[in-house]
Amino acid sequence: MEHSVGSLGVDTKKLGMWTFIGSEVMLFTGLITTYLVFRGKSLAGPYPRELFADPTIVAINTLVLLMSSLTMVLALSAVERGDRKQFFQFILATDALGALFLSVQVYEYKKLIEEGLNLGVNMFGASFFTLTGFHGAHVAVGVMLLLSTALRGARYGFTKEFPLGVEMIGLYWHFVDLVWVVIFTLVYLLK
Amino acid sequence: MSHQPQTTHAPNRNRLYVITFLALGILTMVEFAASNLPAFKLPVLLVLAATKASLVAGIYMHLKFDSRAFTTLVAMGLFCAVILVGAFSVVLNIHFD
Repeated sequence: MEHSVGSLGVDTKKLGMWTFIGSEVMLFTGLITTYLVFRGKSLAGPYPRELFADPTIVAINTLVLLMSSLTMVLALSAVERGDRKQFFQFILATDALGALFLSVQVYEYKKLIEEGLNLGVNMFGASFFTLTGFHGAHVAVGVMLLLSTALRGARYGFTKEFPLGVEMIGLYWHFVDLVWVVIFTLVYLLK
Repeated sequence: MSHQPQTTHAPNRNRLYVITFLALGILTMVEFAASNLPAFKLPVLLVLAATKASLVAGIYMHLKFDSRAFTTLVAMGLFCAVILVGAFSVVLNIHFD
């Protein structure tokens, strides 16, 4: 597989990834806007102000995801230098941090459901679970992609196209992180 | 398909990545503290979130170092996003706080 450069002077695979990310921006904008419209339209509780009074756990989970972005970019740096040991350490750390983020999100869902919030209870619940659920699904896909990248690296070694593959997975992962930065502020801090 | 280890000559920016993470961590803590501000909460939180998002996109996603074509692509998506949120804010009277 060769790196192909298009008329814009950039790698076409990377351009494709950025185009995909551009479409994901629109998807999440739609979901976030829906949440902002509906969260204040509930006729019955529970309401965001009651449930997100103390977002400490979510703030810590945000730091976990931010740290996973650091380990991801360090994994890319390692693969560019041909440092196999560091690459596997960092990509597996990224995977573990992603899995930790998801575990905390499941714990948070469990707590919210116990407090009476679910998909059908009110508009806030429906839009909240749709938005954070979509994001969680993206993280879950990312965790699987990271694992498959690590396995591919272990099985086939650092082939010619491998650094670009790692960079593309990295772009996806950082985007998922970036979306959470916005969700954290709009959902949990501006309650 | 080659099975030989491949390396590229990309500059080592590990120090910058760690500093960026520290900045992101500090900004998150400032955001957390600012969520209890009695006034100007919305603009302060939005500026902090935008700064964090810019750091992730610019440094970790390499927009700062890569081709302008990628930045243009993202800017177009963001422009549409801002228009969408802005329009809904006006039409449906979104309350941020």
